[in-house]
Amino acid sequence: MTILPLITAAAVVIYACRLAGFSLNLSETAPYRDQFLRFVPRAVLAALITLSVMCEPEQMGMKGAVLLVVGVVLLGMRRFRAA
Amino acid sequence: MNSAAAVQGFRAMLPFSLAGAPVALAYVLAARSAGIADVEIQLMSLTMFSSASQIALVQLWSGGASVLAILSTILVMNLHFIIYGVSLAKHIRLRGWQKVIAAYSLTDAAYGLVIATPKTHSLSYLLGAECCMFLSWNLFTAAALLVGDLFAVLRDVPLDFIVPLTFFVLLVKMTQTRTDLAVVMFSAALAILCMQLGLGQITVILVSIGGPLFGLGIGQLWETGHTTPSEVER
Repeated sequence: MTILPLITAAAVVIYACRLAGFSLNLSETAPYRDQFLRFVPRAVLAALITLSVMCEPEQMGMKGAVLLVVGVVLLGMRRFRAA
Repeated sequence: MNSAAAVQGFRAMLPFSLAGAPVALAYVLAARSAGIADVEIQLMSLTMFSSASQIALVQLWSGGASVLAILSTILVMNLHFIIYGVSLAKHIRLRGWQKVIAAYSLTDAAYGLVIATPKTHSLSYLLGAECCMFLSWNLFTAAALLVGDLFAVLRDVPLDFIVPLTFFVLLVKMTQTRTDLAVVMFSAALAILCMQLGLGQITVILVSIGGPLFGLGIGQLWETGHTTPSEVER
């Protein structure tokens, strides 16, 4: 059985998802929606980072430690700049 | 088109694109062992351009899953792009043909990079970043097909950690208020819960809805309580 029709259908599904968000017409201002969308990147990035750290239990400690160090350094730099 | 912004986007994406090397190798090895032809392996990278979806398709197809099951899995895995698109469209005004082009190679990394700061909110920057990732992913796929054995050493190098590490730096920059921090903490906790429940790829969709809803709720709660001026959202 050839996989070509399946590849084509999968590509269409993926492209439709990617295009759908751009195509929704949300030009008017709506405070709650705008606030919601403002939080989306923060939530998505937090989820992607968490999934990446948690997906390999044997590397979780190392990855967690690296993130902790980077976080402390970044927050330290922010406070230093604010001072 | 602003070519300087496009080049900036392309350059900014380079560290992310390195992470594609071990993933491409894993994908090619899995696809070959499933009996998929080299041309089809490359075609998937060109048309689907989604490492997770490509690997899922290979695994499900080799496991004998039905076409409907494979396509519905891929649909669920990519639903979060709808939220990415809506979120990006709030910052970048796109005309018809621009949407068609920008949507083709939208990825997690491109979204994370572009949405991070106002100065990167431009179509040129987005296209530059997308172009870099598209080229590198397809070149890594081709390289893995041609000289996969030489790339085998990369399989054990945790290069894929570059992506979450960069996301983390962006996230720290974006976390400015107490509500932002609450959203981040809640989202991370929700992601862990979803993982424990074995929800897999649905996790990102659930968190991308649950996290902001929590932010709206907690923001209102704090606004009606003892809010200090520094806590007012920008």
